[in-house]
Amino acid sequence: MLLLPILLIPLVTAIITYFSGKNARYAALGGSLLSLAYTLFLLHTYNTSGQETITFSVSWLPQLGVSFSLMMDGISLMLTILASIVMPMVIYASWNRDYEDRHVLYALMMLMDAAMAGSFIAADGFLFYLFWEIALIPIYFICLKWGGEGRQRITLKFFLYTMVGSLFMLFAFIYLYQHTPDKTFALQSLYKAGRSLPVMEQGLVMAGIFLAFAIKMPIFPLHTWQPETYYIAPTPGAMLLSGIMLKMATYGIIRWLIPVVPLGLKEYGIWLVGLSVVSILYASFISIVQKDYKRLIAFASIAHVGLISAGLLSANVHSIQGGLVEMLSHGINSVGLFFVYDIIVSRTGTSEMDKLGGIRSIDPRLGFMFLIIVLGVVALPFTNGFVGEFLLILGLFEYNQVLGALAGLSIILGVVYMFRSFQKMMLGEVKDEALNYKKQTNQETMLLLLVCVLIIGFGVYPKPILAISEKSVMELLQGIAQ
Amino acid sequence: MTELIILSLTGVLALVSEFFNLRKMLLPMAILALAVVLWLSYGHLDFVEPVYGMAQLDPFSGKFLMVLCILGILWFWGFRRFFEEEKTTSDYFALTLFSFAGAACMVSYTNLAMLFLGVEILSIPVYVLAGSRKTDVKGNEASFKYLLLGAFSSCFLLFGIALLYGATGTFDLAELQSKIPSLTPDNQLLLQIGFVMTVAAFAFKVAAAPFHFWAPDVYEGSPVPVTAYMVTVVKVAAFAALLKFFQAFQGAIPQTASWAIYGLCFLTLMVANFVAASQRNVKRLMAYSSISHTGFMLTGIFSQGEGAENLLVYYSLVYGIASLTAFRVLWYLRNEAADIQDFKGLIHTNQLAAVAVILAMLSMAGIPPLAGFIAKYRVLAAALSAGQGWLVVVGILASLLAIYYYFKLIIVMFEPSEVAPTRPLKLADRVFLYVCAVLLIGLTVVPLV
Repeated sequence: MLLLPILLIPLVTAIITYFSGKNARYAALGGSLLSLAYTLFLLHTYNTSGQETITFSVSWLPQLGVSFSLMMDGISLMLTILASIVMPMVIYASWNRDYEDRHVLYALMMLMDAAMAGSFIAADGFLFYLFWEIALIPIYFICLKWGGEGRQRITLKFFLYTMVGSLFMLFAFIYLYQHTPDKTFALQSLYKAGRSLPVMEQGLVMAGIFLAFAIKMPIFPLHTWQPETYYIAPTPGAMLLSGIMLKMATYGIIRWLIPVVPLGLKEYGIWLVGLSVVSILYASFISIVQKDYKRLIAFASIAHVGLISAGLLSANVHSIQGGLVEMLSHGINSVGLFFVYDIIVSRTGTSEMDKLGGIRSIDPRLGFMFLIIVLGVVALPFTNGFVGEFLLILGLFEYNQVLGALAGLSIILGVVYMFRSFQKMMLGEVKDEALNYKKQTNQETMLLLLVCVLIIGFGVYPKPILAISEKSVMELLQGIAQ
Repeated sequence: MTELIILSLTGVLALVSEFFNLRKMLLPMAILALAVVLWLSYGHLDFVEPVYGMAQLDPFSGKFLMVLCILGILWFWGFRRFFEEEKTTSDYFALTLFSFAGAACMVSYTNLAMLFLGVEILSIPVYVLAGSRKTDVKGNEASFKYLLLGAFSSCFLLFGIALLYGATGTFDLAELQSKIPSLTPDNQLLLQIGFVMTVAAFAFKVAAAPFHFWAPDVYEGSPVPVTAYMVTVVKVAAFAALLKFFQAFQGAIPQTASWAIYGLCFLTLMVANFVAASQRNVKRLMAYSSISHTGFMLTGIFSQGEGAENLLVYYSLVYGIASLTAFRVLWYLRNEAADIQDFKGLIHTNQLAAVAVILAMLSMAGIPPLAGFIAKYRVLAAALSAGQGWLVVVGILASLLAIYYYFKLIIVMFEPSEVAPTRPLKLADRVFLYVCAVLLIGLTVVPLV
């Protein structure tokens, strides 16, 4: 029962938002803050009660072996916290922007939030697949209605790409389902079925499931939809895509890949880790030569998520813990990066870095806060990025030293492309496009300040964050070791 | 029995309503009649009533009759403007209700003679309705084509039934089933040919490839409400009859015949989706989409047989509601042949209509969380457990292809519109669209069958 409000609050908010017309933004922000409050309440209950997992289950489609089961442990809680922190920030980021039919936009965003939150707590393979797909529909329409040039083609490509990927995941789940002793999609049954398969078959199942995740994250060479989609997506859409949605895939690796096929992962996992590392390097190099700031963040996102994926797949305590923290940091940093984009574009109408320059001399506050965000992204010590990336690389190094070293390069390359963007836009002479630049409003300052506080706060004192998921991660790894 | 009497009597009443000046009362009466039949069929879900050895009202017929009634009520409600023209009101009502009585015979027959009667009673009024716009050349062509090919398929049906009778010496389905194991090889051959002939006749009726060529032309030429009637009520009745027929032969189908039926599924899925992808006329697009759904329903029937009842009921209901929604909005935009561009910018001019179409399209494309996904999933799961893995792959490829053309329509609706805003929808029509939309989502959350 404790888990239902996680789904219901955003759902009800979506409906209220849709019917509240001009006040839609208040309704959406209120709903998302309520959701945040509820998550904090859950965190409190979780910490004090000492209960490892909270579950909820009712029968839903018995003839298909599907039940409506939800489950929350430390890992799910971490992701739920991420979603409920990012959501109000995304809504607040678009507070004063002029979107046509904004009540529809916010309603779709809340629907998406419900679906994503659902995927983080689903304890039934079929249900996970459903939430996974449901999350796709609102974002598709957000990009189609409020997107930029060429959105028809790009969004369809995005939709088909993800759809095909998730079909492979569904295949893999059905294959597992047929091997379950009790013919259900329940999490534990799928675990049992997966672990009873021979190594070769585990490898195939792993490939099917990973394909869906690799497209969503995305991992090279399945990333071609992503830069385009981020580019045309309206800012809130891009924030949702990179802030929360891709975490469905990284969370999926922890919950629906590692424990399902432990032997397959041990045998063939190195290929997937290798692919993720290639993805990191590829995206970093492409990032360095980008001329457009938004495309640069898109590729930077591929690089970071590649590191998360590589770390998670190496499946040890450090890397999984690091991956979880990094997901949280990446969500917050993405909001920051895209918000800076939004601020600059709303003043200058362009995000081409060659046309911009010297913004810091006009608006020093923005310059300063953007610098903090950049530092967080490049994982400077005492920022949130550092905790996650350090643990990830440490874990990866334990797994395979060569790959660990290669992945470590990502930090250096990250410094190159992030500082390059900072330098081009913020420093140097003021270019034509930036001449009439207006200083940021209080609302913008508030949000950026919040992002900066979170970046430094988590960076200086990450212990409570790490503590949330620690027990669950240990338990997960023990389950595999058996 | 009562169901048949109610439907036929309401039809007769519609014919004589001119004398008593009851024209205005016909719509509520028709809906009431269907509602009563719906209620009576619900009673038959746990109660079997034989009708003179010709038909039998049992859970099977009850379920399908309920689906038909729900679709029928929605159809009368959504397309009530079709009956507004004074001169023809009573005729149209009578024709529709008679064809409904035919559908009731088709879902409840136990005797092949009854099946044939049902098919004819269902079809003949629809031939007339298809040509109901007397001055329209395309409508006349559609009606004539439908009549000729319908007559042709009736020949197949009769021939098939005759061969089955020749092989077994009975028209009764249960008796026929019991005689199959003890047939001599010669009669066995007759039986097989009869079976294939009859299935071919059904394939005509449900428009399965390669017997589908009439469908796009007829669907395009007929008035939109009649097309909607054909792709929902007529099709569902034919599927119910086919399922019943197929169940009687289950286990007795020889290898060659089973290749034929799986070939039918494969061809239907492939042809429909490939051709649909290149259509620009929305009515033709919907025709091919309906053929593609035929492919899925056939897959469900042939791979599951005995257990396919609930599956088919659910699929028909979801498919029917989505089709009615799409055709209702199509009819609202254009009375006649609509180009895909007619949907341009609909999201800006009429949000409710656009959202209803989007939900219908997503459901037909089989995208979660719409009910169409659960329907397709059940069909493909049935095929998988029947060991027809290759058909599952074909089905999934077909669905992916389908996303392309359904989304073509969705994308057009989001383009900026140059046309003037369309006239607003009446309250009753808005409610119709709301009900359909809620059903399309609600049937996922609470799958009744």
